Amino acid sequence: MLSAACQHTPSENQKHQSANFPDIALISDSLNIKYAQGFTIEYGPSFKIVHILKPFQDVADTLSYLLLSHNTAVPEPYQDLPVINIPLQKLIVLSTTHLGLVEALESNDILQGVANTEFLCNLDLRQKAARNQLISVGEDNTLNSERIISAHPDLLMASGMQSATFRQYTVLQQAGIPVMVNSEWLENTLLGRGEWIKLMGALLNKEKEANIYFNHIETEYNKLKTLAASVPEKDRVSAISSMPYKGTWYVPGGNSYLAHLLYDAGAKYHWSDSPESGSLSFDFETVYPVALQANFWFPGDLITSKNDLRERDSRFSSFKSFKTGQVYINNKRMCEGGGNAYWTSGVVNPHLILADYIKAFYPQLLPDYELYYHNRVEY
Amino acid sequence: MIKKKKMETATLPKKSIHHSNKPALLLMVLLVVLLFAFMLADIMLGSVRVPAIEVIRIIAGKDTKNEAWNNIITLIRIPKAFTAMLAGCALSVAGLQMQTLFRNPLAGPSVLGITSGASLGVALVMLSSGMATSMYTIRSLGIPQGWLMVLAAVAGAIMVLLLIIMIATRIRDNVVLLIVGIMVGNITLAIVSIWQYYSNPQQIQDFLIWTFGSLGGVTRQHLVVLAVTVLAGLVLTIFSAKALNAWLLGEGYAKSMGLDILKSRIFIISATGLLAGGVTAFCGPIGFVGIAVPHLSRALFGTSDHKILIPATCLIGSILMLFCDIMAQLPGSDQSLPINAVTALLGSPVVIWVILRQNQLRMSFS
Amino acid sequence: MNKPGTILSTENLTTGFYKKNRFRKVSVSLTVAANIQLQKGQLTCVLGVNGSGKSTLIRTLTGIQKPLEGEVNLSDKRIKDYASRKLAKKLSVVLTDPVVVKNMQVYDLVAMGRFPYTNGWGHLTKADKSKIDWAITTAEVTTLTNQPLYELSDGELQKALIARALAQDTPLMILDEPTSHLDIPNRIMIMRLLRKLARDNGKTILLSTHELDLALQMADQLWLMLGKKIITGVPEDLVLSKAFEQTFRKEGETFNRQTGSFQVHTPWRKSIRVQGDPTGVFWTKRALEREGFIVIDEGVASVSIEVKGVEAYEWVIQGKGKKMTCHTVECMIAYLNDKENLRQGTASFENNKTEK
Repeated sequence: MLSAACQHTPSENQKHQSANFPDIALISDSLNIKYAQGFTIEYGPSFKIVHILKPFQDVADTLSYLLLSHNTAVPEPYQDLPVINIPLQKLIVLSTTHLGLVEALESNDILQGVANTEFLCNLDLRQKAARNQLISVGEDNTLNSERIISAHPDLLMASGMQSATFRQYTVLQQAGIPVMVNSEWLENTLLGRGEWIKLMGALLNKEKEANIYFNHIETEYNKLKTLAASVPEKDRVSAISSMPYKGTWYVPGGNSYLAHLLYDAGAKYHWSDSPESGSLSFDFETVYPVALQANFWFPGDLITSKNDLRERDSRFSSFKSFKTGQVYINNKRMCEGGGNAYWTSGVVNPHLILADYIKAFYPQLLPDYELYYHNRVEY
Repeated sequence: MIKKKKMETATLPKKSIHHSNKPALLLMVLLVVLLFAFMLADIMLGSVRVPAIEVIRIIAGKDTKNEAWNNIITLIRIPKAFTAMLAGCALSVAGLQMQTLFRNPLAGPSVLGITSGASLGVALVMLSSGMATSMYTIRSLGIPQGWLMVLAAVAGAIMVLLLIIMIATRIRDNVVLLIVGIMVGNITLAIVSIWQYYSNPQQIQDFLIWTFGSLGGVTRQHLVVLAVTVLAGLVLTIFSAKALNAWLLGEGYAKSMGLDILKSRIFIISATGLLAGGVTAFCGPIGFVGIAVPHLSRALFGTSDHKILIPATCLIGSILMLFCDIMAQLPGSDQSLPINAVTALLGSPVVIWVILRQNQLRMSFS
Repeated sequence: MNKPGTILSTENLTTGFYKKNRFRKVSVSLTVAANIQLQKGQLTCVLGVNGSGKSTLIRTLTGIQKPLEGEVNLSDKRIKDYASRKLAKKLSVVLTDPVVVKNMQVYDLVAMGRFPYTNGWGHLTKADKSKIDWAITTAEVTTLTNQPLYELSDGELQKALIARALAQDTPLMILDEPTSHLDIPNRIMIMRLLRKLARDNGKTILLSTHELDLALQMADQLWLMLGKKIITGVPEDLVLSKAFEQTFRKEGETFNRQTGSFQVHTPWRKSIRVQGDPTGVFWTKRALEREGFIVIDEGVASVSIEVKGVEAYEWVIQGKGKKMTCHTVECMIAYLNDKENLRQGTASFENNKTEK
């Protein structure tokens, strides 16, 4: 059952989609991708094909994968594609955001390994790790290929952030372990990121659940967005993100998901005109005048108090946001081993992140809402 | 051979018998045995425990009940062990040639900035072409890309070598030469860092990970490229063995004995560039092995004859690198340490020992 | 190109080097337009003061350095036309370059002399080995063959280097200051060895040296670096023609043609006549000259000394109406230096310092 054609198509991705999928046993529900620009899914008679359109930040290249049921013959024209057997029964993920996707589809039981079990937030998973049923496989240059080969998952999901380690992935591929790049982090909207749940759905044959889940967050998100849009132009607040690092301040580009989040929450953003979908690097003094005037500041989760900020750089204390106590940190849901649920479940809860921002900017709009991921730094 | 020697002694009664090469041969056989032992040990050790018998069965090409073990051994451990062997041999032989050519006991690929030159070449490839690391490119152009890296690294290494030679002909002071080498290294690293400033974070991360040095990152396709490069370098070195002996006496004597100085220099530099550059391209800058191993082999074999030193240095270098790799895996056996850290830990004491035993240094070199 | 009997000759040879000043390269010549010959089977020594260009000449004749102008002919060809391997079979050298690889064994060092004859791998054939053995025996380093170079004394190392040059089996050997840094017995040993090689083995040997005495005694021919010219000849001719004196005048030393050695001491005292046993007289003279006296064999002097004895010497000093017998040179000198002993009379023994 194909969902209704979407009104505001962000990309031409849908054209790959096929309306023919007679094998109902294989495909429970089809997918319609509205926001995400990084992947497409094609449906064949007894298979699915996933295209990852932008696996790396620096590379415009398409990686394609053939998703097949166990014991199904590879269809003729797709001999060259890497095959992923679905539904996945054993999965290793390298990014915490992937965990959110799995958890949202209630499929934590298929997880076989993560980059580092220390940073797990889910208690069940932590216990599983304690029982050695969930392994740490490292990432980047510490990726432990031997353990992955030994575990032999149906799929290794990599974040695509570490293109340098791709040489190690070739070894895994030679060992018959497909490696999929899940570059959800390159999307430039929160809904686009959240929509990658549909990819996970396709891998798990849980298209239906994925659609239901995404429709829910989409509705919630858009409701909130409309709410924030009601704020008159003159009442709109300004905000900045992130913190300087060694003299360089990487601020979100005007087309990044963080910038879009600010617009959707009804805030003004100084670099909204820049076309960057990644980050912009500035020296401190370029950002300083903007930071001085901004009403709100979201510096990240590396600090916990005003004192922390002052110790990092005493100039922070002259920021308007600092003086008025409008600094928000996404550390409300830190976990035992140092993980942060913001990074795990945030990807599938874009509406909650948006609600946090709206609550911060215009508390009167959401009087009964309590911040979900963020803490206001008052002291 | 010994018989012949005796006959000659008989005809020339006053002459004392010159020593035979028997101990050298014996030592060499011992080293080969040791090399196999270390290689086996390196293949047996890893974060996943594979029973020794299974390892041997897999090496012997027999079926194993566990496909994962088979993959781990054939796809990860054997390529890594071969990489270690090639890297150790290549860097050490490169170091040996540089010590002879510059007549400087502290010369080595990393000290004289040769690896920095190779790094510059690699940076050129990594930071200027983003496509270098995509999965598709690797699958379809895996080997050409490997060759490109090697080409750039070897060119970078040779460039620095030529610069050092140019300076060395003007300045005969060993210490000055070392300082110049360090400066050349710094300049190339500075160029690399300026370059990084203009590259995107992904490419920088690529490059930074590469600079940690790694033996495990070499896939089978790359291993072929590495092996061909190293073998070419070794063949050139073997052709230079006689010439290297002449270089020991200095340029004046070498020339007076009929050595074509220019040709020989080109041979030696090309060989060094291929060896050091090839390894650096795939394994990153690995330090200290190149300086330390030639001294170890000279001490062990008590000779300065390159016909013995070249194979000896190659063998000891391979063994040492395998040992370093084993060491890198030992702690906790969960994750391996960066190979660079291990070679530095094991190699720098040797360098310090060389400096401390200045008397010995003078005896053997200056 | 060379006359019969001549192995090496030069045609208007100008040696020197190029110096870079701020704007361009300037040539600095040390020897100008030299036409000299090296005779087969002879030992020839190049002598000259420091900086006169001995080393440059040697390096130019061996082909290591290019001449500024002119040509060097070796046997029947110009030296620059030789292929390097061919040249290495004609000419071997012993240089002043330090041998830095001292853990090499003497045998291996000598074996390197076979470099131009061995194959690409440097394999030593039976013929090579017997040549090496011959070189080792001839250079008298037989007992050192298995020793590493760092265990050798300077003299032994020099002999080993000569053995290496011998193993190269060339009719001509050129040595740059083979005796410097050696003590006297070693200098003599090296010169004796070279003399023997020339006489017994028919080698033509050219060497530069500072050892005037040895060169005068051992060389068949001398080349004196006089200014920018080279004066050649048999040692005795050069001494008698004052060329020797002229060559070394630069150093402010006086060459004594009578003794064939340098006069080191400038006399500032009166004459003393010395007579007696020849050996005794020889050493007495040395002592007196060191003290600044002029020593004469006969004629009139206010003081005279008679040296007596064969086994145990005694010195009878007469003058100023006094007589003194000494049993050591030390005693004699003390006596002569003591003003009191020679006060009587004209005080002619006293120098100006003692005037009061």
